[in-house]
Amino acid sequence: MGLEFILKNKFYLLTMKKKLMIALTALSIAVLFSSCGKAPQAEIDAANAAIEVAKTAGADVYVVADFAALQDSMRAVNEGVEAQNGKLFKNFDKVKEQLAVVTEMAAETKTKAEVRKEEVKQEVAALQTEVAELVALNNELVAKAPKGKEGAAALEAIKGDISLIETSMTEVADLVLADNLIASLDKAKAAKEKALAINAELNEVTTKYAKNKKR
Amino acid sequence: MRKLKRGVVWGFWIFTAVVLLAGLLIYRTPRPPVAALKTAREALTEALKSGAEVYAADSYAAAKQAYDSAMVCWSAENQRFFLFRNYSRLDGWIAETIEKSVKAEELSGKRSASANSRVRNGVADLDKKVAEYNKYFKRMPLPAAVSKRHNQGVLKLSEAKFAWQNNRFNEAETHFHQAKELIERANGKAEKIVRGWFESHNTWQKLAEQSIRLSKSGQKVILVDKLAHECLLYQNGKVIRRFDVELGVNWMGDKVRKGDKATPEGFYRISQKKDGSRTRFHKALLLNYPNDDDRARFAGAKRNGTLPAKADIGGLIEFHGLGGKGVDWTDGCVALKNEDMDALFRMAAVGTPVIIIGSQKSLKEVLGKE
Repeated sequence: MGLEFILKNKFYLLTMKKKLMIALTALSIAVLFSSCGKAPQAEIDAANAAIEVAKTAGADVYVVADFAALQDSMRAVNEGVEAQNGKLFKNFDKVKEQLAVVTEMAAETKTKAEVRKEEVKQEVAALQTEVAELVALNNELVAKAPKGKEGAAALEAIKGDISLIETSMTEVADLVLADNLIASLDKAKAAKEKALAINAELNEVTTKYAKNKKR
Repeated sequence: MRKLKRGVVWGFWIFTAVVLLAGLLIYRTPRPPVAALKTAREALTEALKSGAEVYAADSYAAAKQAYDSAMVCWSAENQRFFLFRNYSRLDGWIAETIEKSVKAEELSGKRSASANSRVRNGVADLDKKVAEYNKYFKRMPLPAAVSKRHNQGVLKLSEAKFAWQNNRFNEAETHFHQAKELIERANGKAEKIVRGWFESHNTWQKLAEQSIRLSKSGQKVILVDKLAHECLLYQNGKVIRRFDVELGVNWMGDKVRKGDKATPEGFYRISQKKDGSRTRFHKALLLNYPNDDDRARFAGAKRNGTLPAKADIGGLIEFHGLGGKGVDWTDGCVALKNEDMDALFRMAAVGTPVIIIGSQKSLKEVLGKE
């Protein structure tokens, strides 16, 4: 009786010990998986921040296709994150790799945008200089043209056209200040075209005056 | 021992049943529509690439919202125990994303093509209007505001062309509409002024017919067509010489008073021939301006208060040399190139009739419309 009780108790203790071991192992596995399966939030935030930086640099304006590809890549990563979130045993290794690629892509897009923006800026600046020179040249031609009744009215009209170009170039400068470079480029190109037309007209008029004066 | 054996058998069956049940549950667990979501995302990206954000903003925003909702829905389902997940709502959002993205892409394609065509045709039409202005109105002494508006329109038109060349059709269309308004207003105002001037066309026609009739007797008659900037020398009803001329700065319209820089319209005669030291314009043929009609009209204008009492009718209107400048520059005289002036001077005599009219052509011929 006494032996049977001892044996039964021992068997019970052993079973309890086993159960405890199993529970501990399960808990360890659960802890292990839960620690491995956390979404890489820091990397996600970094990638989103890099995309925002690219956008601020003007990627959505100056490198539209690259920016669209970047947004698509980030969306693909977000899908990857959710796909892992839905699994029992999560593994974000691939997502982390994709996030690194997206972050790098965002940095490249930002650089491309900055380069293109700088190119446009330089183009506008060159046009501003060219138009300013043409305006100065046109004003010089107007000043050289004969005074008095000979062609004075025609020259007055041309002076009006020149002042229109000057107003247009002030608008170009304002657009540059407002960082609206694409619009400023169109305006500067239009002003140059008009300044060249006036220059040709002035040259024609003054040549005719000069030719006539020689007689 | 038997008890243990029975326990093992039971344990085996219970384990097998649990494994099978778990397998069945896992098998029957709903799978997220990963591939469909990828398709939706690609459709959204294609819509973006087609310019839907610009040309079909509302449709693209709706497609983007549907995709975002799909992602939120998926995330919410992931929060639930895997056996209780249901992706039917997610499927709905995915279908909506695809449908709206495709619609946005189609709409964007149609709208950008339509804007492209509208701007292309509109720009071509405005180019014609600019050419029309340059052909008919540029040499006319129009008010500064009209030419300023025209030039502002030309600048805007250039902006529209540059935006269009870079496939920014929406911006191009905005510039185009601004250009259209400016150019059409300038052309409209110019046309109104010309129509007003052409109210005297019947008188001009009669004067032109009179000059041809007069010349049929064998005498030389000079006809000046101000709009054409031409001086025609008639004899025996035919044009025997044709010269280009330059006129007064404000040549459009009849001369009213001294200093208005207008070239008079009417029937005159050469009253004096000047050369050498008698003129500083190479050679000159003085006209008998003001004639009786001019004096009567001038007096009437003073009487009805159109002109101030102190106004002077002016004079010294002549044909003279030093022309060929390509602009209208005189105070009202008719200027010819020196060699042309030499020829006219030789052929004209004191008393030769000179008829100055606005235009031989009708308004329809001038403006291309009634």
